[in-house]
Amino acid sequence: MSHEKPPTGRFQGVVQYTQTVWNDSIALDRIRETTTHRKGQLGFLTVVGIALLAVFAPIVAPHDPQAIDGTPFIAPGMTGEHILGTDSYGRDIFSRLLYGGRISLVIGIGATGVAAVVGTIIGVISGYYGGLVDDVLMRFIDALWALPWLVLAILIISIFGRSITNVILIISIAYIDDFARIGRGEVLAIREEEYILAAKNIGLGDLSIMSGTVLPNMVGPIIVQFTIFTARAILVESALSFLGLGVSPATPTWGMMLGDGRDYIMDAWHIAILPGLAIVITTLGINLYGDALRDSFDVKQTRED
Amino acid sequence: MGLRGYVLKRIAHALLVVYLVTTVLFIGIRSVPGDPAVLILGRDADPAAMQELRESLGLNEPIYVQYVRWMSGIMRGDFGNSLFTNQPVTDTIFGLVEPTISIAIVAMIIAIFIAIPAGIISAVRQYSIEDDIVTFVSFIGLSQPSFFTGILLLLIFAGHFQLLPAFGYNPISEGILPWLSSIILPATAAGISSGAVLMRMVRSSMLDVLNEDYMRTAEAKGLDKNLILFKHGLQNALIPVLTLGGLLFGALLGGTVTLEIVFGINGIGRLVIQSISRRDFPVIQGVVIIIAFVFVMLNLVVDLLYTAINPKIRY
Repeated sequence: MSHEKPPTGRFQGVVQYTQTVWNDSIALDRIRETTTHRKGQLGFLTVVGIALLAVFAPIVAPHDPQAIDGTPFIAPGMTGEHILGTDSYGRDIFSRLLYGGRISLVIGIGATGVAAVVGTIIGVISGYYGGLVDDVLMRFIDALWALPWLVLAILIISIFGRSITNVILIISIAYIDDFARIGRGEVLAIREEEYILAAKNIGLGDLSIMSGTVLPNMVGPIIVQFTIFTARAILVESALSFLGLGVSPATPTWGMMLGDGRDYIMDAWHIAILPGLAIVITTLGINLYGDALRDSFDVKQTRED
Repeated sequence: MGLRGYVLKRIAHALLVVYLVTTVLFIGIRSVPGDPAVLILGRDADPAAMQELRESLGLNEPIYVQYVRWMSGIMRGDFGNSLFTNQPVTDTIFGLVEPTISIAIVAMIIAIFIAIPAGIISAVRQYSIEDDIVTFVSFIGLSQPSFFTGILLLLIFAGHFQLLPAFGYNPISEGILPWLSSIILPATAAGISSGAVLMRMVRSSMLDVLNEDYMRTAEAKGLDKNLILFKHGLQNALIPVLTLGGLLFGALLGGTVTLEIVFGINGIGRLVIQSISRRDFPVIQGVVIIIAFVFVMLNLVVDLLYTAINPKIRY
């Protein structure tokens, strides 16, 4: 990075940051590198496949996911009309799985995205300024950390009720502390590096340094963390739906379908097993890709992964 | 800062966190839309009865009086009475804690028994076929919700082979064997999930240790290979793994709750779900505070233990 004039304003800082990330051929190369190994390829193809099915669910789905238009308890492969069979109400399982995938992905990516942005900002500020700011912010992060997702779910659902936004809120609050710790750790590791001191010496403002120099240096760990936590968020969403604490009952989700199928597990196992497999395949794909990213960015396994 | 100072500071932090959690909880619960008296008695109840209930719940007092009374109640371990059964919340929770703790402890034991051998093999034979298999299996463990594992186990061992009971819990007072047979399936399901996380950690920690100079020195001295591996290697590799123990509790807890539902076990998980649908706020509060307290204290103990056994940290 060479600059004629150091950018001073807030806006220039953001522009410079975006350019750095975009032009940072190392980061892009590392991402490209993931698809040269079997693990990365398998993960990548699974994730892309499931994302496409979810996005195009209205086109791909042969039935309305909520319509009670078939005979109940049809087993998979018995009729061409319901390839994966029907549930206890006679709803088409394949169509419900496609729509359920949308909820899983939206919540997984949405919740992790919120946690990543808020958590990283808190962590960077905490690590960059240190002292009292660090103490106060980290006590706040400790308090968040003491609330496992289940406890947050109990609180938020019993107070505000069930909705997509509330589920995203639960999961993102649960993961803010993880991103904050990563952001803080990365800043502490580079805070005394010469290029940071140099940036300070040529008169760059704190915001420019944080966005232009500090953030691009932690792209790798954050991308890796983001992928792994997306998989975890999908698992948490499915557990919430399974417990009846997820999004409203009017929306098909994998966890809820699994919960419904549990009552018929001995006689019509496919109602519970198919959504279970959907969850496993999706999170397995994301985890494999996340691990491929971890390898190519050379991020050390942290104690919580 | 001496060791004493460090320990005191950590205890003060832990208590501060618990205090913050309870205060947030108080504010949260009080901001619930709707009058608890209406929720309990129903919309058409006698106004005099409602007034009486508000009086007995202390809802007519100013908010700061309620806060002080609530906090001092918590200090004494008094979380009030269930709105539904009118039993003290503490009794309700402690009456149901045995199955939940049983599942969590057995799950942890299973996780450790899976994770340590698998992690060592995987690290010692890095990139071998054994490593690939262990790694792939651990990825499935990481990617599979424990309630789904539970349903699969239920289908196989209770449904197909009819070896184990599918529903219910036998207290430990009825004998070890009936107790174990009633919780072994949910504990295995929870243990597989935690074991996968733990195994990844053992593997990466072991790999770090294997590259240390002292391992090479031990080898150069001509010490027995197994001795090196278990005495010098494993002992050091398990130090960072310990920190995970406390954190896994949070994950294990979530898993246990879903598994209680799968296996029809009457524990804290079912109590929570029931209380949410009944809007039984004193019980919800009690469970949340106890979970947060146990979680914070467990991690405090783990951290202090970590400081005590890690020769690199000295105050």
